[in-house]
Amino acid sequence: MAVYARGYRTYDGDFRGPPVAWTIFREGVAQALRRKGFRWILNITAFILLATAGMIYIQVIVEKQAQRLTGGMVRAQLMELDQIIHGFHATTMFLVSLGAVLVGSGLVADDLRTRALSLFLVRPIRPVDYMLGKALVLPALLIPLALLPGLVLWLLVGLWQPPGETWTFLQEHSDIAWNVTRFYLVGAAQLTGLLLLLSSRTPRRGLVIGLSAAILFGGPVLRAIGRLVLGPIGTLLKSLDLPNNMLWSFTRDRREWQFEGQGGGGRWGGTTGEERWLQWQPDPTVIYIVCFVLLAAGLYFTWRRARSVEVDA
Amino acid sequence: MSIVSIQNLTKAYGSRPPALRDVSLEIEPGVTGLLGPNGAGKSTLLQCVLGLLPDFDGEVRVLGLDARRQRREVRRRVGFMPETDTYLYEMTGIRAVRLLGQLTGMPRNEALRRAHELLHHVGLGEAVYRDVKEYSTGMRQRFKLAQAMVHDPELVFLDEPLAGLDPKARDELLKLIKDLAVEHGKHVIWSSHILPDVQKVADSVVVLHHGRFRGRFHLEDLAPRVGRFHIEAEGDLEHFESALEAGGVTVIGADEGEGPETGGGTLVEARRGWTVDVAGDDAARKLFAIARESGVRVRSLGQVAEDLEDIFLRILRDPESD
Repeated sequence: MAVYARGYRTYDGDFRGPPVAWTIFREGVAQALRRKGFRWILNITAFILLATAGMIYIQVIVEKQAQRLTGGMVRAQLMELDQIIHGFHATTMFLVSLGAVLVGSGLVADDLRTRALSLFLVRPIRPVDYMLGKALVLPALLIPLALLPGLVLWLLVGLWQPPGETWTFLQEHSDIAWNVTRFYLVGAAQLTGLLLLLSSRTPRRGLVIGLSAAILFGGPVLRAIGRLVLGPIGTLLKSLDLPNNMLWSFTRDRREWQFEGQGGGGRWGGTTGEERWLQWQPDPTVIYIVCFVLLAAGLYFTWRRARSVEVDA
Repeated sequence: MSIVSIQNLTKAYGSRPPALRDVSLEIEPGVTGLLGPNGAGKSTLLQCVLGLLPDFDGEVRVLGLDARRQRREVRRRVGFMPETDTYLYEMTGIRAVRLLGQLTGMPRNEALRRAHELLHHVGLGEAVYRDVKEYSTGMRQRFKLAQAMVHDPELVFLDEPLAGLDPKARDELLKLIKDLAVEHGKHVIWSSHILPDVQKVADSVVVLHHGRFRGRFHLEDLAPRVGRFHIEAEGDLEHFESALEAGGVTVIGADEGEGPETGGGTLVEARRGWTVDVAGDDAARKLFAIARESGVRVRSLGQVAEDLEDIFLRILRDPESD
């Protein structure tokens, strides 16, 4: 019998579906992937990743040829892999921020604007389910933008080592994998916290986009001011450049290449350069505190939104 | 046994005067109209019962469950069609209803099947793959009914379900709701201020006004109350009105009336109409007798069927119910 001819039928199935938080998370991810803008960002990132991998491969080939000609050991010496990954992240940071704003701005604001909360909250949903479901969307979407590319490059270079040396290479450079993971975790915590915080405060998505873009892209200005201000306020201002926090989390253990270039002079010129460089960077502990505070605030206000449909203006 | 039991429910929004004040009422199985003028507290009452507004004073039980402590179990067994224009952003009808079914705990495939069935049942079969945002007002009302029924609840709360619909769409949706109640035994609590619609479906009504419970009425009690008449008379009307009251006739309302006046040298006597309740089988004879004794001439006399609006207005007017 055709479905339209059946009339109303009782439901005698079960109610043992997946956890509600998972359903909300999954729908959030699916909705983001349906957005053309976000798909473009994924494609551009993939293109930059392919280009970077191609350049590394060419470097491997050239080095192998050179070593063969000189009779040396055939082994790709890619000591600058972390710099390459840093360059990749610095290049794609704009895309990461843009993607986060594009997807994260509507996480709660869309539900507020369309009053969908009154449809959600009459279901057997706890506020914590809603909060978790929404909070996991952005970290999941940042995986292909901020976590996988670095790990893929690290693995590829490992695979391009001479036979039998792949595992040794990966072990020797395991700190790169950890730094990439830290880059991702700091980014996911900051961006999720910021966007949940803003998105749960207003139903106007445009306002959320504007504010979050101003915070993300105005970060260098805050950092510049923070460099001039002494004490905790300066430290705090420097740590409010969220994209820089991510990059700094990636490089801070291997910062020697930031100012020790060829011949020890480097970009900033010796010890003075190092001091100047560090003046621009926030304290790593403060970065973690900023991550925690942003994430906690974002989660709290999202949870509070899911407690009641009462307007708390 | 009542399906909803409310004891001393008080709800205030911030520092404003309470939207609900010490409301106590029992709602019986079947279709119940929750009536009241705009701002009476109907939507607030529904939202408290559903746990959408958790911060209230008093005790609410739904289907025997504590609405505050067993909120999730209550929500699994009830459906809600909100009054506000609501939809899920950038989602087709089928996707939205499926998602809302899943959020009730239904497995994905079951929820999808139910979503198809329900959307076809409410007449949105041709629009299941269209974005809900593109739906017309009538389609959105149907969509809201479909999502309320996707998990096959025992009790469904409808908040102004026919608001903004044209007469044809009203009739169609009314038929659907009636079908759910009569054919499928669903309990319905219908909040509305459009009384004729409620009268067509409801078994009983509960009246709220200014955040207070003002009374209850069973619609089956409308049938025996046939002694309502509209009488139009001319002559000494003041004497007639007092004679009506002295004769045991309840005056429900009076028309504005006209006259007395002179025109073209002729005296036109005062003329006025009253709506009255008269007890007994010989009501018409009694009215004629009072008119004769009062010296007025009856110009017209007709029976008036009482409707929900009369009951509603009487409950609102009755100072006893405050």
